[in-house]
Amino acid sequence: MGTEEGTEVERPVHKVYLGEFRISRFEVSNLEFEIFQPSHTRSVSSPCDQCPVTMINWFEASSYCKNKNGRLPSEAEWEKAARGPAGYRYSFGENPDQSKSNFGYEFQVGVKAVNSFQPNGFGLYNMSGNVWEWVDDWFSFYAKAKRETRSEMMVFNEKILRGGSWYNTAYYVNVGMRFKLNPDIKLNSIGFRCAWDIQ
Amino acid sequence: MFGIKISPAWDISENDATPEEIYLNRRKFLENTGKLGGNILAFNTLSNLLTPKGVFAASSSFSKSISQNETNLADLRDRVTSEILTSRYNNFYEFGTLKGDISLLAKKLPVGEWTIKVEGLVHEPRILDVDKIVQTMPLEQRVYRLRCVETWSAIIPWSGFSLRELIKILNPLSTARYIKFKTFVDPNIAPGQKKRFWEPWPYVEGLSMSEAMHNLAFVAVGMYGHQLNPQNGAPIRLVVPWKYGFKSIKSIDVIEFVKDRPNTFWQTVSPLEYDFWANVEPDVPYAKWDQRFEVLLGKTKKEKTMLYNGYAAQVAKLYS
Repeated sequence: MGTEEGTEVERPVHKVYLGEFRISRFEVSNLEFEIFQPSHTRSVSSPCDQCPVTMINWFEASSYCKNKNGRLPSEAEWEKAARGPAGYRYSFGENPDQSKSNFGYEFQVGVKAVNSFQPNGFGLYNMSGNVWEWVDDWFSFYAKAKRETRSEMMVFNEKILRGGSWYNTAYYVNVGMRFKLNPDIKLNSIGFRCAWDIQ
Repeated sequence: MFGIKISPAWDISENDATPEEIYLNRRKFLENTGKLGGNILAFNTLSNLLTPKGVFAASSSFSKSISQNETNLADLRDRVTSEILTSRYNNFYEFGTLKGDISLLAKKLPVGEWTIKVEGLVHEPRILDVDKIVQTMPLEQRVYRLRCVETWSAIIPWSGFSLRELIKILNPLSTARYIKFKTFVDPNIAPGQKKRFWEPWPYVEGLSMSEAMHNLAFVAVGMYGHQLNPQNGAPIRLVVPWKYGFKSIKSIDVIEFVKDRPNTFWQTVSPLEYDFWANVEPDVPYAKWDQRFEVLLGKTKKEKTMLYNGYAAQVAKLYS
């Protein structure tokens, strides 16, 4: 987990031991989310039924997943899933390639449907690019986090986001890169997907 | 006018604009170029001529030159913008949002061996080496008013060349109607790009081709007689004095000639507040601010803002 290509926020690269888990193949769509929360207002950048839901804060995302008997993926789970079985830098491969994911465009271009492009080796779509994805963890530096124990990580007041969006450059969609934001904030480039423990 | 290639009505006297200590350094810099002739400055290389060594090396005729200018400089000390202010009060969101922090944070910007990618509607896309650009361009010094949309202003002596001279070399196609500029993206060195990850980096600005070909549109590689500081947009930036300061993009990484009007950074971030043109028009409230007045850095008294920042006689016809 982590990448030497980033800053001290992403270093050091380190091992994390995970239990088995399931994770959604797709980002949660507008249609899916609006069954749970009909009052949701779509962003003009993400207008279609099958577009990823955006303009949702971390709490709303977490509530949605709990309603589905799941949870937001941990940061480590998200990165493991995004790298695919080959452990790539991007969910689509080792090198930036705009033909394989929605990134590097102008803001005005907007999102693609959640099933766009080819999935990664685990069958997961759009983990690099399209929209940022909330994960469960509070931000903490890796060096201070011995293991993926979430209670230890609640030392800061920002939640982690991963994966970049359609208007970010390759740096941001590198799945090792970490970004953080107050969990109350809603942005038109932030969505999520859910994960589940294996029973 | 000393060291100015063109001295028309728009130019501010360097004696009106430059504080004594800065003027001294600039004179040293100019004399050490060994290339001063008439009103035209010719330079060899940026690295040779804009380095601190070049700026601060003394020459035998230096003291006499200074004493001849002391009277004018003393009279104007309270009107000028000190480099101490312009180098420590900076908007450069790539590095953060606190103006006083930028000079420290921007030190990580690797300004050496800088290249610019030229693309879009050009006969020949290419990678420009900034040092080589400086070798080939007729460098000159211009003293311009800078008006920030936040209603502060400064008077700054820039070194560089007119944008239109660069455009002639870049040789765009006749179908190019706008020129688009991008700043670098590297969140590892620019903490603002890491922290404000949701912003539409890179910073983008643009001009119509008629604006870009106007003589006042300037490309700066130096200020106050030395190489640009990182926080001021090193190693190469735009200076468009009749527009709000955010149009004068810093640390240019890409130049693209395009057919359609580019979506600029601030337009994208806040389209209801910012437009593409962003000309200084004091009677038109712009963004969050009443634009009728400004405060020159280092002063406390408000001054009336002038139409097109005082360059109406030169540029108003662009918009008529």
